[in-house]
Amino acid sequence: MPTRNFVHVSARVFRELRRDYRTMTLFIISPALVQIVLYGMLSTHPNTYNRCGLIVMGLFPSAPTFLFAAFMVHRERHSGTMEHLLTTPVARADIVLGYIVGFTLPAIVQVAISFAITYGILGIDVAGPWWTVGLLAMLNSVLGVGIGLFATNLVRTEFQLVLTLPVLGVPHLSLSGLFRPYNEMVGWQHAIATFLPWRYAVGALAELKDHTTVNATLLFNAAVTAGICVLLFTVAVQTVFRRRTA
Amino acid sequence: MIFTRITLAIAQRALRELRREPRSFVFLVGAPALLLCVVRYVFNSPEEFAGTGAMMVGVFPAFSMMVVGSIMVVRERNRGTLEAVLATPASRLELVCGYLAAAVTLAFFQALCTTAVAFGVCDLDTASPIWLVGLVAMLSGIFGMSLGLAVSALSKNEGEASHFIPGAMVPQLLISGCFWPVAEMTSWLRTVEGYLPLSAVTRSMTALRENRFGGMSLVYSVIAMLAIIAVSQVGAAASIRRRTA
Repeated sequence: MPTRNFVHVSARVFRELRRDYRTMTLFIISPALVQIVLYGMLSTHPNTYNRCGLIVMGLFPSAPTFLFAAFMVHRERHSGTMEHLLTTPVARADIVLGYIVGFTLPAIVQVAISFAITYGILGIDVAGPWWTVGLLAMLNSVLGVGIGLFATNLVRTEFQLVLTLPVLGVPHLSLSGLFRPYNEMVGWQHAIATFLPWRYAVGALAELKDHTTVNATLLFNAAVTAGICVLLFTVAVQTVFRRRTA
Repeated sequence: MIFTRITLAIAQRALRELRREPRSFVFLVGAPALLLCVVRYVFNSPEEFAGTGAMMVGVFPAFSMMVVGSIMVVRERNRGTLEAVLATPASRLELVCGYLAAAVTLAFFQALCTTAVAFGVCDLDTASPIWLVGLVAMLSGIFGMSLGLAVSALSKNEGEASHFIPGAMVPQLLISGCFWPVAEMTSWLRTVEGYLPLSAVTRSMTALRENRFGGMSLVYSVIAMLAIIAVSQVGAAASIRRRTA
């Protein structure tokens, strides 16, 4: 069971991120930038913009947390930081929780900026309440940490990690329902999409475009997304946070 | 005297190293074709796919070469491989030409694979002949490698180089028309589009799809790509120097 130790772990992660100005700047401004670009692309088609803007606003936070988590944890695994951490009396659950909090803390700032610009300046028009979109965005940033931790199991070097980005990212995004709604996909696409975490994240967000209240589809998709997070973190506890030596 | 024995030796060394790392080799040669297939089936019919698909035939090779190029160069610089090569009798010109020759070889196989899949599997249909599309896809690959060189000059380590994927490449992909036609974007974004390096790739591919042999639009884009390739190679040759005594 996690104890208060996770606070120290997350404080350390956060402090380390804060010192990395370049990554931090990219992390904070990139979602807002993408929203502005998206508005420029689609403003002549308000309906398309409202749908894509909403989904990107809610889904995008998972991308930077993925990058953060994957690169940092990969480096820590191979430079020995993780070993040091595991020799201390801190439980593995604490470490995982600490990492999740440490990585998603900056995501709050990022989501706030992105929302302020999208709702305030760009004037996106969606039926659902903004705080629901915000909660889903935070859930997706946690999902990003989970996928990031999992991805470090698949690679040996940082270079390979970079290569997995486009190879996993492009098909994942193509079949997530952003470009083509899940209902319009053909059989084999359904089959693949069923196993994609983003399909559920997108499914939950898309509901908010036309529905003012939280409905069953949204809850189901959000629950599956949360379930995938739990699954990924359970795997991470068993694989990532394990001593290699001794 | 560009193709000296030294140049060839350097090119062979770079290629051999890449071949030993199967993932990057597969990533370079196979990934563009694979991603093309995925994108093809986001669309219902080959006709709907044609617009985006033609662009992707150029964009994916450029993208993958940029990723691999930038990180490999950063790594070689940080680990001292470049220092070691510069300690040999190879001149800087030979060094740059050697790497360029390796990039051209890779771009050739990459373009071959991508174009074959695009026309064979994805039923892409263009007004221009296949060999010309392949040639421009190959040029896009070399162009991507040059962008990678520029990225490597701006990055201290591999992590920083990888930031250019979400920070610079994804916005470029969005703006240059891969997802949504440029003609329907707002005017300020179209102005931005005109200055993006990746627009040269998408514009030349669109020109190839619409006109037989591309027309003037292709000529301009190809000149722009060649110019950027030349500048980055000269810049690389000028900036490579031994850091330690």
